[in-house]
Amino acid sequence: MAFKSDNDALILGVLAERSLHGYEISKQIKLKSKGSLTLPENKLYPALHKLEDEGFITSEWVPQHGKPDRKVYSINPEGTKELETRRSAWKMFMANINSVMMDTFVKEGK
Amino acid sequence: MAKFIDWYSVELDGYLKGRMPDIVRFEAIKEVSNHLNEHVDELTLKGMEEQAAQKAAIASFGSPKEAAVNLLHQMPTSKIGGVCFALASLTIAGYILYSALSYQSYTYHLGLISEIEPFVGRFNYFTIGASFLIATALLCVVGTIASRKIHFGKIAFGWAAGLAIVAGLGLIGPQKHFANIQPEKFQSNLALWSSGLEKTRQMAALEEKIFEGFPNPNSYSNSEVLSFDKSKAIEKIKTYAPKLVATEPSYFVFGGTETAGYIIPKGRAGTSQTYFRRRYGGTMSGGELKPVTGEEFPWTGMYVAYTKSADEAIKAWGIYRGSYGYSNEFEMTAIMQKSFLENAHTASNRTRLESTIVVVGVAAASSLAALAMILLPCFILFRMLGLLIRSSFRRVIA
Repeated sequence: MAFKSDNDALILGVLAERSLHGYEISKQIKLKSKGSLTLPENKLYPALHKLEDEGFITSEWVPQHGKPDRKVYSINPEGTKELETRRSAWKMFMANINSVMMDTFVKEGK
Repeated sequence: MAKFIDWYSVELDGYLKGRMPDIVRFEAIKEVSNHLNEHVDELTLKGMEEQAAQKAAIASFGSPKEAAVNLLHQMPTSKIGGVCFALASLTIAGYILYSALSYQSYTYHLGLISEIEPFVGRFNYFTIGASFLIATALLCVVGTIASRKIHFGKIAFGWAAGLAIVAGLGLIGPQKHFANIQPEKFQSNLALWSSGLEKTRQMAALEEKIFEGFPNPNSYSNSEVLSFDKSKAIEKIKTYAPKLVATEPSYFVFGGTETAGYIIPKGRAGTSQTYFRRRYGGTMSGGELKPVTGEEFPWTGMYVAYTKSADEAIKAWGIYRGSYGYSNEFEMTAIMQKSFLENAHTASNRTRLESTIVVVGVAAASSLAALAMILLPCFILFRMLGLLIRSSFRRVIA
């Protein structure tokens, strides 16, 4: 990946589909990006805690049968709004990159 | 079978303990542990052996230290702790510096505070010292709580320094007696009193000489004075007074028809004037005594009683001096003042030196000792535990 990923946006992106626990979030990011994006595992939880502190996601401890409780994160309306903002920013960023890089690519007839 | 993840959790807990609120720490460790267990479950489902899966999950997550650093990095930092410690340290350091540089004893400048509104009549230097101690201790306690309990050593420092100052107060406190003496005036005051003492002794010798053959009223009690041969006394005064005045004009001023003069401490002037006036009905005049050196004795006055007759003058003088026995009050005062100043001078020098040595030395020593006592065993214990955990962890991993 040539561009630095936005961990917060990636987390919000996967949580937008459904509530997930930490490990699942990490897996989903990897899966959806076809293995090209991997969020360092030990940076996942600090990022989740930060997003929670900022009020974009919520969490709750969910009991599991025969296993320890696990913390499940969900996006909230504030988080959804934030995700939209980041999506727009990303679209604009992509468009700008495209206009710089792809123009020459098209002109060269590739 | 040893659970690597449990060891991992213990080690991670060791890094996080005291650096974040307990509830946050417990949840973070539980969450990390869950994450690792999820990963292990997934790997074992794929056919990996349990131990290998645990190692792989841990390797994927990163070392406990790395995880701890990341978790701590996102913790909001509080500046209250630092501000409190800075305030406490500045207060203590400022006080020590001021005290060490001060020429006065500790109780003197604490006493000064107690003389400033609104402290007047409410606090003495002990309560101010205690308040200082409590304030610095509170700042350290608040700082410790605000900085999430990682600075136990700083509490010890705050208290040790505070206690050292209180100890310093206790050691130096008794010298408050000398506190109002200005050190830079010691030598001149001492010289003035010494010269005054010398002069008053000369004056006494002169009196003895002038009153030769006549019972000096100074040596008699009040009742004996009244039975003097007054005609002889008057004659002596008339004869010798001019000589006396000529010899020591600075000490005796005989004016008017019949007079009696004596040097008395300034604080007694009012009493003496009232006494003379009431008893003899004469007029009085007084003035600052000017020694031959030209310097001024601010604490004494030369009072001259102008009485109706020489007889009355002798009586006045005799009664006045007789009431104090044979003590030459000025001489006594001079001796006491000279001694006081000499002691004060020594005490002041000692105070300045002791201030520096006792407070700075004791504060530094006790602070270091307290820090060492608290931090060293903790450091050794944590180090040993850390080594033990790591070596066990690595042995199992290997």
